[in-house]
Amino acid sequence: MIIKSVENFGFWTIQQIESVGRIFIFLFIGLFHIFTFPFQIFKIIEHTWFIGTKSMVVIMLTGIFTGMVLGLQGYYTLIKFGSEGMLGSAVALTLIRELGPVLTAIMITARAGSAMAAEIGVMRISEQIDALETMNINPVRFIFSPRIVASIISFPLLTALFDVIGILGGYVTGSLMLGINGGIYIYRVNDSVIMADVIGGFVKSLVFAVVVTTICCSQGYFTHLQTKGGFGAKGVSFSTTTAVVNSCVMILVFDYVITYLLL
Amino acid sequence: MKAPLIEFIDVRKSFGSNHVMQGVNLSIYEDEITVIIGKSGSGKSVLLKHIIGLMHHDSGKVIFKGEEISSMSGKRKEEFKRNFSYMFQENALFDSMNIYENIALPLAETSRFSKQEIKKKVEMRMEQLEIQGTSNKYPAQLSGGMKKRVALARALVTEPSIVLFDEPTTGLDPVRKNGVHAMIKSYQQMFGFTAVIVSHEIPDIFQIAQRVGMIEKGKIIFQGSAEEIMKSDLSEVSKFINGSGDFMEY
Repeated sequence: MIIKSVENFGFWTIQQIESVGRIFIFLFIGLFHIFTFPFQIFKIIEHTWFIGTKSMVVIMLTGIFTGMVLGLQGYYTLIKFGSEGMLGSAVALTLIRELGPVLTAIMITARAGSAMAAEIGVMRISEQIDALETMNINPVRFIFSPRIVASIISFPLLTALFDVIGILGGYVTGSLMLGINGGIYIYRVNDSVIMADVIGGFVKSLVFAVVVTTICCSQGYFTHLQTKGGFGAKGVSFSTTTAVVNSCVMILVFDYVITYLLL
Repeated sequence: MKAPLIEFIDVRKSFGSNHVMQGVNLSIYEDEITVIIGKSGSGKSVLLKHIIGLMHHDSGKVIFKGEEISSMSGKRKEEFKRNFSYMFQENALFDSMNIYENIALPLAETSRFSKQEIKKKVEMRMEQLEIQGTSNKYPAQLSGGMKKRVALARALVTEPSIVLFDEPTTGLDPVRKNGVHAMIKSYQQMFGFTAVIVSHEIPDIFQIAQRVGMIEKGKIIFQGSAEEIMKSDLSEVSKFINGSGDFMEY
């Protein structure tokens, strides 16, 4: 009984180590092939359009409502201390330092990350990835490298969009609905946000880009190796769910680590 | 006697407790059509995937032109792979690419041809395989037979010297099956490649086979010409060819 439990634990540990090793090797091969000739410019543009441009609407919607909620909550908290004039600072700093990069990454994971995992998973089970290998085409270079470049381009830009729209949302509730002077709101935003806050937000978004794309693409790519969720279509569905859940968890973990390092 | 182009020597492969290849010995000769037959799940596709390196054997040797495939260096392996094309059972066409892009992909990604040269080669293959006019369509918009031809066009566009076919007629009606067999035969003669075909289509496939190998319980139990296999005294071979075995075994 005890020996069996130890055996199972050992087997599970080896599997986890193998899985982490596979993902790291996948990441390093993908990063290496970003710089190998010929550069995959058109594929990068295509994926930037998919990950970036097509996520703009959802990012703007999330951004405006997050900003509006922050405006409301912030106003009713600050007014207790007679400091509602600080609303611009509270909204801008919360968005630029924390919520902007985190919520943007989570929304991109939900929209584009899940699609990446599912698409690559289907490619795996329908032997399209094997077909690439037989054609002497490196599948990691073909599938992953352009996507990671596209994510590195898209994540910070979408984060910036989220921040700007969110600050505007705070202005809508704070100034237009609750009566805070608009000039003071903008002044506080301008006065409190320093370059280090913006850089910190962008560092987070760059790290999230690498984390989300690696997790989502590798889950799809190694769909055939997972046995927990079943095979075929069920396997792809399991990989997609795992990709989204793991990405969201890792976004929050890395958010804490980066915040700790930056402060 | 000529030397084999590809040779399997005592090749073994297991997936956990499932021993798929238990000492396979097989010779494949240049410019011939070699057909591998056997029951479902007997390891035919696994054998084919070992040739091109999609799977790696546990022990034994797979030799190409006297050189062991597993000991080839990275660069040499790339050169080796350039000799091959592989036609998958379910075609493995890229759903998100149109037909032209599917066929052009191996050239666009691995050759230094200009766009014009690639276009010329792709259009030539499409004309030869009578799939002109499908360039802008997607695989999902084509019939099973047309998809097979697209897959064949993609396999032949790089002008390979060896083409591996994994059950190329799966899911086709009898007329189209014979059409695909005739197509393989005529293109093999036209382009002069070595073909290795994994097939269930007995006895139709013998019409085009120059050499037949039968795999049973992880071993090649017969190698010879189509005429020889038809006259074989081995009970497993004759039962399989005549379809008279216990169906539970299949």
